[in-house]
Amino acid sequence: MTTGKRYKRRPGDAEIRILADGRVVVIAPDEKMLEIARKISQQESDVSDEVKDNDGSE
Amino acid sequence: MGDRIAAAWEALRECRLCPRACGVDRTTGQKGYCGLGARSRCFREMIFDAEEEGLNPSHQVYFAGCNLRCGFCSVAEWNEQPEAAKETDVAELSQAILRRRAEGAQTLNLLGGEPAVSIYGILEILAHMPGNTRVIWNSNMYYEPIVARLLDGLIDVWLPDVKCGNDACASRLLGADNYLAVVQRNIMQVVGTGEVIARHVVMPGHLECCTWPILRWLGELDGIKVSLRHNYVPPAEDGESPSSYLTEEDVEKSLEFARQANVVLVK
Repeated sequence: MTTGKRYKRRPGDAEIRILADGRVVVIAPDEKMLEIARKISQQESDVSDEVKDNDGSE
Repeated sequence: MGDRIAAAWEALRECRLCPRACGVDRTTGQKGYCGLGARSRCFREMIFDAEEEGLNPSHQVYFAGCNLRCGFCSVAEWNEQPEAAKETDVAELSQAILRRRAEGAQTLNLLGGEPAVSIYGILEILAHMPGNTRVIWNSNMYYEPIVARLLDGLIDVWLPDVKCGNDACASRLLGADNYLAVVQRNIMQVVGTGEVIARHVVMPGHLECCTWPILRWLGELDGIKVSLRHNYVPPAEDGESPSSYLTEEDVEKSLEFARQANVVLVK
């Protein structure tokens, strides 16, 4: 039987959300998480640039 | 400083540091609402570059345990289970603070959780700091006057986080009674004793009931700057807290409120 209750963060957990509009939200980040978020944001940006480039070449 | 530390220890014997007034003897390991014994528990320390202008790079020192239960708290797990963090080793943390300062930290940023419930441990740390350390008290300000007395003259920048603009919302979202009167009393008490930057995180659906009254009140005070934050993050769990992110309209409306209230905004 499942309760359907959402998982509750525990000490030591990390939580990063990528929203539908591409924003990266880091919940109470430590330094490592901030670095990861920067890398994700950069990748999102690279993908977005790539899409723009592709659009431009059509 | 020795007298203050001793006074803080005595206060823990029948703890009424905050309005919860649990009355437990924390020096013997009894725990009240905040879940802490006598010793503070630091769960994170890091350099952060996104505090308000003039405070960066800031050395954030996070203490576990809090006297509020905000449904949207980003470190709720450390406040609900403060004992998951190890007891602060004063010598070790003091060394870390000095090291961070050598790395470029301009401010020592005491936060949590709520630092007031860790006042004894925090005074122990401050006793080890050089006199020219620029100390930030990053607090919900929901505490009793004894905390202000223990901090008298030790804080350079007060960073009150004003969450709700009325007691009904505070009771529902933060689990706090008599919230507004306590927080307003404590903020008014520190005006003129250092720089005061009142923060407010705008919450979806709470602009009229919370943001507006807070800004209107702050606008009536001299000597306070306001940091209006638009980074509300809804909790993953269902509950009383707003479940969405802010819209562009929310942001614009809050800025218009700030203009109408004539507050001095800082970024």
